[in-house]
Amino acid sequence: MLLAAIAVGLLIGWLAGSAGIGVLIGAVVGIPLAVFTVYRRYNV
Amino acid sequence: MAAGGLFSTPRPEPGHLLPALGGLVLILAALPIFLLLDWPVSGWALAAALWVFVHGLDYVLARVRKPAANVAGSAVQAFGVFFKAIVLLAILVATAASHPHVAVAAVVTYALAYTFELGLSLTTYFGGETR
Repeated sequence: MLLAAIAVGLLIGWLAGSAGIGVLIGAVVGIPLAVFTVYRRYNV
Repeated sequence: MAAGGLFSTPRPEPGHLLPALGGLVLILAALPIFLLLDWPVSGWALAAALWVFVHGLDYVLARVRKPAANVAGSAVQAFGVFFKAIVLLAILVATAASHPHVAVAAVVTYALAYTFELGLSLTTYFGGETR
């Protein structure tokens, strides 16, 4: 999930003209998504 | 009311492996991004070195304090927390003074890895069974 969010951010940022900003936004969005995914996956 | 119960309910200390693996994945995933976007790889290397240092120290201190899981163990843990923070701060401030771009790259990479680890740690702790 985290890597997918970073990849999507990279793609959107690249299309918008700033791949670096896109990567950072993708990571910031991807971290809580990945944590939630781990929570749901393991139901800890 | 519910939040108060959540924070006051004792839980066993969760494992450290899953959060550490999460941070490692983020650090490793950052390398191809640094290479692809032509960012300072030395910043990535500094973040990776700091991550290895922090977790290496955690591992050593956990082994040291295991036989004495009491006041002495708490003192060792407190030493570890402060020592890690001071070393990280000193290295990053020194780097920022001499190579600002490297420092920013290292701080952003390390902060993302730390945040991911923290999130996973909180999830495993508060999601775990109560005592």
